[in-house]
Amino acid sequence: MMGNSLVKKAITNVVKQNIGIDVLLVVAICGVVITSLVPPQMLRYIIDHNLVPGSSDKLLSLALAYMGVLLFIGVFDCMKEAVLTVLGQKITREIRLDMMAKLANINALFFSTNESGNIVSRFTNDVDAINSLFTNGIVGMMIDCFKIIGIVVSIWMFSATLGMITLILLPIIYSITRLFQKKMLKAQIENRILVARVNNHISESLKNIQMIKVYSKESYMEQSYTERLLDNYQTVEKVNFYDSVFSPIILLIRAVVIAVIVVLSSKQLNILGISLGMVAASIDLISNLFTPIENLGMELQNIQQAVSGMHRVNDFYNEPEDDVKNSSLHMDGIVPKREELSLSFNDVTFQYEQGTEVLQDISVQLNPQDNVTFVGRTGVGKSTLFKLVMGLLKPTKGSITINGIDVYQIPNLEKRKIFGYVDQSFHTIPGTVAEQISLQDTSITREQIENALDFVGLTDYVGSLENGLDTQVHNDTLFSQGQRQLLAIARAIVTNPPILLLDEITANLDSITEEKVVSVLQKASNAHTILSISHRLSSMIASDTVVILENGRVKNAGSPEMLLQKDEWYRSHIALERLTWS
Amino acid sequence: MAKLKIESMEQPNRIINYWKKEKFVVACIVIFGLAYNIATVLGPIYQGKLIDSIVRGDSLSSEVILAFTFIALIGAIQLMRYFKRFYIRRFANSTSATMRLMIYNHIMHETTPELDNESTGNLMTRAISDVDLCVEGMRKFSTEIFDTGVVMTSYLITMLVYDTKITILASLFIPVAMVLAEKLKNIIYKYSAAFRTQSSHIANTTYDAIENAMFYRANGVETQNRAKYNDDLEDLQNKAIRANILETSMEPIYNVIAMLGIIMVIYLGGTKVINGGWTIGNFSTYIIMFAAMASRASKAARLFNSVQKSQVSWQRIKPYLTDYQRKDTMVNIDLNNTRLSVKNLSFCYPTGKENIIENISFTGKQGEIIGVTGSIASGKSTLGLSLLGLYPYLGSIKIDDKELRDFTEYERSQMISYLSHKPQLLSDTIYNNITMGNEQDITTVLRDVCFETDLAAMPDGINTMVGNSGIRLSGGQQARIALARTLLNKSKIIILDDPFAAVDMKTEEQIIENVKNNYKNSLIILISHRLTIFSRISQIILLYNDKTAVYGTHNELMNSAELYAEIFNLQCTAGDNNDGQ
Repeated sequence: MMGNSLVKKAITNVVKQNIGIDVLLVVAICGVVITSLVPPQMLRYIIDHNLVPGSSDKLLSLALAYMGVLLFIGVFDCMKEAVLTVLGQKITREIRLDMMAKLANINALFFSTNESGNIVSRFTNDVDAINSLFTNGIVGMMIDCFKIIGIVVSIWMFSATLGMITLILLPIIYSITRLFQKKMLKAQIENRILVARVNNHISESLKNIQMIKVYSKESYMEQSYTERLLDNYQTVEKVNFYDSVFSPIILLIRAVVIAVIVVLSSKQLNILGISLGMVAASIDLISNLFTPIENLGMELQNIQQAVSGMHRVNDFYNEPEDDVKNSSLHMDGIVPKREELSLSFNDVTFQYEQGTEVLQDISVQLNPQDNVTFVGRTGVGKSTLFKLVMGLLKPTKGSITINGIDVYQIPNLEKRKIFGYVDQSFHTIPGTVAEQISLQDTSITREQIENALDFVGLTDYVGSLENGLDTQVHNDTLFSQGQRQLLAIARAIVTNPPILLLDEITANLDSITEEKVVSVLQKASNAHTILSISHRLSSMIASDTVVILENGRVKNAGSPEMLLQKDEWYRSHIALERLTWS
Repeated sequence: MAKLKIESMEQPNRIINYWKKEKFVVACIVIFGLAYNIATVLGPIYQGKLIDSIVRGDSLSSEVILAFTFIALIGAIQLMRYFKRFYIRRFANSTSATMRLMIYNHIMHETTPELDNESTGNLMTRAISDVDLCVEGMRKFSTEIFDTGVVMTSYLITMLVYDTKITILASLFIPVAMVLAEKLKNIIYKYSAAFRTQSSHIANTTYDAIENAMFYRANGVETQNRAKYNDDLEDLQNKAIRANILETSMEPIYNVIAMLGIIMVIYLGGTKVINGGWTIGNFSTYIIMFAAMASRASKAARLFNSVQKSQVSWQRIKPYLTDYQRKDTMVNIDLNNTRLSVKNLSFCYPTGKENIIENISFTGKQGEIIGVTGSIASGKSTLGLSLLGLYPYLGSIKIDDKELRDFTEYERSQMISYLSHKPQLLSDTIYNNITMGNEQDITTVLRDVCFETDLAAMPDGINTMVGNSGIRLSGGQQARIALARTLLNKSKIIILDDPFAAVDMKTEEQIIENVKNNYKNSLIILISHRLTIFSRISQIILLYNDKTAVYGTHNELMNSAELYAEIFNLQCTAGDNNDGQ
């Protein structure tokens, strides 16, 4: 059905690994189908052998046996539900795990073109849909088909004529059911769009609440909200109509069928030629026929809906991956001596989409332990540049090399030993203070963590916490904005990487904290090659080189002194900045 | 369709009022519900009669008449059932609409400081899923009063009439099943709560892994995180299995327990037939009724669960269900001769501790443009915002000699137009975004904001949809549409907070020129960090970071304020420094 189907693979795996449970499922299904055919037969026997002739022979044992069969139906049903739940959950887990593995190798471009919420819903909603496709869809459909076959065969054994009538009945009931289900689905889809509009109106009102209040447009907004509610109300009314009318119609059809059977078996006609017990049993069996047919329609619909979820999961699985990394590359081999590290951008061009170059022909050679600041307006591709440096993105043209080795070849596991990356937001992970720094990397020692903390000057503060380094970080109140920024630096330097990448790190800080952060970085600058990004021209730490980016190209580069003399734009903006104007 | 109206209601915080409000619908539910559920015993009774007629060997004609009576009866019963089902759903539908309207009305009329404390996500959940859950519970409750309560009673009475002894003996087990379901409810609730907690934990972990994928990748910890994800998934799987098995697999078991009485029914009932006390038809009728009652009982657990769930939701939305509010639209303002006088104005946000602006004093009158400028975080925007009277302020702001806080909120909105630096557009047409319901011609105002060329390029003209938050328009177009909205009513005071960030300089100058010429009855306050246009306006307020301020004309400030002169000259040499298209 599809090229590389994750869903098929996962289901096959789970089914193969759980042979015992599979056997139980088959037993349960057969049990449910077969046992549920027995009670009508017993009823027939009781009527024909006891009630009609008036003999109480074995009546009590028959009553007990009848109950026994009901017990078996209950047990098989219970078993079926349980086994399906277990299998369904195992499949869900298998698929999610495979998707997570995929996520680790997926091309970084994927994240710039897909919203997180959208991807998460593939992990959650779509996988859940696949689960119900398996349990309620495929297996449920099998059970219902077997049930229908069983009923038709049972009736056929009583009377071939009645069997024929049942067979003719099947497509009629089925098409009526489908007609209603289709109409309902259509109304529901219509309704879903309207519900989305109602919800959107609420979120829009909240987003623009200030404007609404300032213009006193509460009643106007409420008016249009009511209109949307009314549209929604009307489609729900339509759904309600189909919903309310369907089941009564089915029961009416059933009554008609029962009446026909009775008339056909009357003494005068006696077309069917069956005993009274058989009549009662047939009525019972035919009544049981409606539920599986109804279910069948629903299951088909579920499958249709789940198939689109399956496609989305499989599409995700077939997204392009990063090129295979060169696993023989290790930190020691790439940077034998940190004093002799040379980083160079060789004619780097990058585009997210064809024809829209974010960066063009960037060529910069960095001297060992250089300190370079990239400046320029927002949106000129500064952050993309950093992703390229860390080898997370592959340049469309050109390359970035460390000591001649292409950064894109470096395995992800080695990156933290080479690059320390800090950006303006500190991402708290669930865990202790120590884990904020180590990111739960077990190869990082306690001593390394303590050293890093000491370096950024947070030792005293962390020591004052209830459990020191082992304090759980539950909320954002434990650390101030500035302390979080220092933690981010500690996290970056804990592995003592030779290169530090700083992305707008002082953007959200007040001047006092900023000073502290800068002094920590100043200390680090002696032993590191530092690349920073800033929308401000005067970088916090003295840089050897400033690179001005404009429209994806290097507009000017050189020492700050040189630029101050030669670049007029640079000069006047430095002045405006000094006055904190913009 | 029947007449459809969604209306407000009184005392929405009492749940009983929702039934009281829908008198007609509720009456229909009661009438059809009672009629259907009582008449429903006729189905099995007639089915028994049909069987008996075969036993008796009745003539074909009487057989056919009986068959038609049966069909007609079922038809009538099902028709009543249809009405019952439909009206219960209609009740749910209109209750949901009313609740949504009331909550929306409540949110819209909260004060600005109150709204600042609300989280959008929370409000959305309340207005959407909590209402759904609550109404679902109300609907099920209404349904089950009839489908469980009335139906079981009428079956029980009918069965007692058929045979008292058998009925009492056989029905003994039905309460057992119901009690068991009720007892297990708490355990199920515990397990499913554990499952839901873990499930939302997984959802958060997944979101975190995706949202921060680059962060984790750059730090090389993806492999190790995946191992943890695997453990979490295993835990989820076990919890899901436990919760689901108890919830779904138990129903067949309840059914078996409730059906235990079938032994009595078959043995004692069979004996009664053999002894001639019952016909075979009676026997069949009785079995059908008994099975229907047992199956109702085994489904009772589901009812308990859904009512419990809806109670939680009701508690959550209750604080938002307050009496319907409407703004007082009485207006007592003089549209001409605008005078604004600000004295010793200080302002601090309710959440903040220190004043953002202090001791600002100035006056202005119609026909003037007052420029407000200053460095980053000097309080420019705050000054503009404080003049709206949405938050409490210190000092005095007088419009036509009346204190701003003494005007009603509606009067203030009619006197003052405000444009924030976010365009705040709705996903509607250009026309509706500008007029916001006040039908009027927008040609002039579009000309004033230099939108004519843009408009000419749009095939749908003023009926062009702007998209969510105006996404289909460029930044400059969004800003100008929002400006047009602000200018439309020619209010006494028009406050523009940095409206031209995304507009190019030439257009900006043209717009200022238009505003100057065409809004001579208004007092305009223009907040900006771009000083080039300030040379053409009446007076300027320059705010410093130390909360002091300097007042004067452009020429005065060029001479007296060093900062102002320096910035003005730098901006002239730096050229067009805006970030727009």
